[in-house]
Amino acid sequence: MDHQASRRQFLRTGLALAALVGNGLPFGISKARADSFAALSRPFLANIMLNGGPDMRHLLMPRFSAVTGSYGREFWRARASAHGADDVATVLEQRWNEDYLPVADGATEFGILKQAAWLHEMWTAGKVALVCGVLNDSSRDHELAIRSMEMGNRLADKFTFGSGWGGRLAQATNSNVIALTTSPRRFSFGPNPDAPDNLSLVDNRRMIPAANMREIALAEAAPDSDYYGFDDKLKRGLKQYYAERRATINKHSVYAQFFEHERKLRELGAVIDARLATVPIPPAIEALFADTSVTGYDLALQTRNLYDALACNDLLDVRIASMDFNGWDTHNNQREEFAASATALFGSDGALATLYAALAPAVRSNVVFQIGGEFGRQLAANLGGGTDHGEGLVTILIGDAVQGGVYGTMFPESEIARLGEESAQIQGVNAIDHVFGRVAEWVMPGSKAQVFPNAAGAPLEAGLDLSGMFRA
Amino acid sequence: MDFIILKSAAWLYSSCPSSSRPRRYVLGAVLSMLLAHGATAAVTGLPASLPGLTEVSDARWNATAVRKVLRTFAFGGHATDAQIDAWAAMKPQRAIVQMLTFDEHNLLLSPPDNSLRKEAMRSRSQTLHALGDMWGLNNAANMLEPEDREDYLRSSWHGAMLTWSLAARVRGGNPFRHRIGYWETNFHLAVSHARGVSNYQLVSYYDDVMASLQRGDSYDAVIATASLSAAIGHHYGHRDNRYYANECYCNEDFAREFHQLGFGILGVGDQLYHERITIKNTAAALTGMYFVSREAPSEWEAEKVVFGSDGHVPSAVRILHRSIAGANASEKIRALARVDIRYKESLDNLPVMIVQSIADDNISFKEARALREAWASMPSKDLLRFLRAYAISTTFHSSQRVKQFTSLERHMVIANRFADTNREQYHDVPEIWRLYWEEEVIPFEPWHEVFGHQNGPEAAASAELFRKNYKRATEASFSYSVEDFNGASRAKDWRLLMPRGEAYTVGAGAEWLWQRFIADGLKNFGPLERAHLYALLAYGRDLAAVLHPRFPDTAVTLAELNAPAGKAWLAKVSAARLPLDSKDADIRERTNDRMGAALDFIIATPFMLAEEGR
Repeated sequence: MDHQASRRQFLRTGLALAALVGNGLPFGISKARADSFAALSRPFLANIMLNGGPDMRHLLMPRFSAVTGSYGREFWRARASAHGADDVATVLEQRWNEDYLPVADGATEFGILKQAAWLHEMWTAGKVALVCGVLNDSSRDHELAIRSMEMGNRLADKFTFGSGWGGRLAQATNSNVIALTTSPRRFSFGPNPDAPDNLSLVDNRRMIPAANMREIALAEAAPDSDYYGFDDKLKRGLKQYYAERRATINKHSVYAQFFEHERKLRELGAVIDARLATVPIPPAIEALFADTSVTGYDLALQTRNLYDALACNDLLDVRIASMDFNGWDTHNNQREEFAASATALFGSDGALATLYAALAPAVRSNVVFQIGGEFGRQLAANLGGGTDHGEGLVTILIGDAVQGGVYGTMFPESEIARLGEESAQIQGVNAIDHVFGRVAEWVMPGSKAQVFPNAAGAPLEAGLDLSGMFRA
Repeated sequence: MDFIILKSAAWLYSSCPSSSRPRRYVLGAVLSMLLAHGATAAVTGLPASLPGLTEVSDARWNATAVRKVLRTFAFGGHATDAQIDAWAAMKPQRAIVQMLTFDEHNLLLSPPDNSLRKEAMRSRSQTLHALGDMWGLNNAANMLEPEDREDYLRSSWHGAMLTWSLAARVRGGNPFRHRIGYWETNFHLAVSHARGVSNYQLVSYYDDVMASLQRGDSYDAVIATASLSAAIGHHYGHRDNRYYANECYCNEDFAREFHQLGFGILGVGDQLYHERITIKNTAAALTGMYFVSREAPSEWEAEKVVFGSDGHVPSAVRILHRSIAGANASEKIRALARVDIRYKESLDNLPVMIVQSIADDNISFKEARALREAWASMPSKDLLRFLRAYAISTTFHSSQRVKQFTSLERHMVIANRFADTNREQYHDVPEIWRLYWEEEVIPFEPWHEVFGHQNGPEAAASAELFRKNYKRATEASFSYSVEDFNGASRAKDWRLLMPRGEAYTVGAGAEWLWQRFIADGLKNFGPLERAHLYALLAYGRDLAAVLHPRFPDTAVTLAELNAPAGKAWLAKVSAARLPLDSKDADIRERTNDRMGAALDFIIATPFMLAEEGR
């Protein structure tokens, strides 16, 4: 079978935003001005994609053991290179002691990378769920795996496109999803409401593009328009042009998406500007912008966006947010690179800690961060100081509503025998359909079937019960 | 004299009957030699058509077709309207070999700026290395502001990207060459300055790849050259990979991407072998590289790679079910590239990948099959021949083709179609700075690292980028026609670009401006677009202020414009004089301001952000 996307399919998916024309603002948008940070009375999911396939086994290492043949010794042996260490027990033990904060869940003993101090703090508070052996895509191809993950469709192939599971969840909850990245991730692409079970159809009327919540409005002409300059003449002319031309543009045209951008920005901009004028930026969040690296700035901006989106959650009728953070493809120099990324995201002064602290308790009690990459890595490190592409990954859930603990087998003993195999990977055994389906159920009970229609028959580790992953 | 010889040779070439191919090839070769002498575009002896790709008919090959090719493949180019008409009048096969070349100069596509004789861009090397030296150092030919020059040095943080950006915009070079160079190094096998790849490595990488393309190397050799560069070795980290005593001290990052990104091979249907044999052994083949400096100040930034046998896998390795031999990484990777390019999965995927990321976001099954057939038909894969054949095919000139422009493509097209002199580029009148610092698209710092820079669909899907483009337009920067160049005032004169017709009129001026930047044959230039541009050009005001002076916030509707009174108004204003040639300097300046404002308006329309086929 040739997998090249057909033109019809493309028009349904690649030009997804084109389908918006004539649909108006996202559902439930309120134009009424309301002052100050809004209350949050419903579950709110912040999905954070870590692009690159993060090595969660580096973030969460098994307790070191000096006993030859034990998991704690053999896994550390296989991972020595990624820790910048020789395979010497004393050296590895030193790494364990210096680099990790030891924790346990029952008999499962492991360490959290020290740079992820906030993650450790939240774990200790019982607010972190670690879902292990999560299965998404087996191709080891970043692009395909990211797309599969965002679509929540493990069966996708190289040329399968369609809605995202965040968009489907917004549809199921009759609310909206807010995309806080520069370009909206597929996660937030919605389904066609007339055919919600068809994963290949896209309709983005419920998606709010908000790459910068504080600069979202389109410029308007000043009331006392400058007679000589062209600025206001262009602002007024273009506003009127878009308003009038929109009616005649073919909704399947590639140009339709731009008319929709114009409408959303103009109308949402006024709503958001009015609210955020009353919501100062917390200084700690502002301080995140001190990291001027591309990824650092981007993470700071998205963090501030999320704060602002929560402040406007009532106006925007939004219950799901989409974010991402790059830089997790650590084929070499893993120890240093992972430490930097973990510090930025999970550190005590990192993005999540700062945001969590800035939120009022009543707000944060309803927010859950769901964090993970597109695939896991191989069991053993390469000899170049890093790890290569694999399969099984760990999904991290953080929030007051989360019932902390390890879900699934964190370190399968069967891996010991496979450590010497070529390209042996951490295996995915718990399909995203079930794991994310449980998250969807938390956001809206009864939504799993709509968001993950292929869940039936999807693999799940024997005996694993995900129903207790959230507090009642 | 060159010109006369060339014209004669070109006539001989074109007048040969197509059945007389050997003679045509000989003449083509002669012509190519003459052209390579420096006067104008090189023409190869190979026909610009390939099986599977149907050449567009003469009737459909018109000025709009030419403009679409230039917009997609050459950042719009700098060709004059007369040259565009001349290409449109030629057979497509003849025109395209003049339009698209990998030579350093294509003086038909990018006529030199004759007002800057000292700069002599037409005869100056167009490598990034040479241009960086020219723009980075003090010399009489350098027209950059003295305080800006050091930014172009390879020792400067943004040296490579600034040099590339200017190289793709100056007259007297070859914007097609740089458009493809950008794709090769920022999409196909992308590396990132943000990941520590030095300017020395970037410049060497870029120049080596372009030299390989210019030589007409088989495409596998081009990819091998890229793969063996210091930039790739540094970015992926295999510069330190070593193989000793049957142990590979290496990562398999580029070992995977060499096949996947370079050739489109994912190992589908052969996954276990691909993972355990092909990738592992490719990683072993990529060992034993040693970086040495030509001019880089440190070994870390070094731009030259020496391929040693020490630390390299000593024997042949099995990859893609073939034995790949070679004494060092260079020999093995070059041999491997010759295998990859003929591998079934690559034959299926690579031509589609190329076209998809350069020219068409909407490739159908049928079109993909045509591209594969064309690619497969070339015993030695020739990227230039493939692109030329595609650019004059019904596949490119299809009503179904969709191209959503990246931020960079949009900015480059605007800059190239706006400027009439290189000085406007040197002083950044087109405001390319907005590309870097507002839209955050920096060449050689791809958004997705090795998976490439911002692509068209994601640019189009971004309301944020839409807002930034809209903001730029409504700041009306093009409406200020007087610029300060090194303390001297220079007024924009659109007559330098507009053809001199009988007289300048509002209607003709608006159409010309639209076609120059949108290149859609006026397909989307309806009554509403006309009316808004006419109001700006004729009155210097927005449309509602002209037609609803007492109620300027009430939009003018299409119904109004389609009513008899509206049509009469359009006809009247269309015929009104556009006094670009007024003897009154104030009137000329005001009219040029209005031309700029009209351009600002055009830039903000959806038609600047994407294009559909014919």
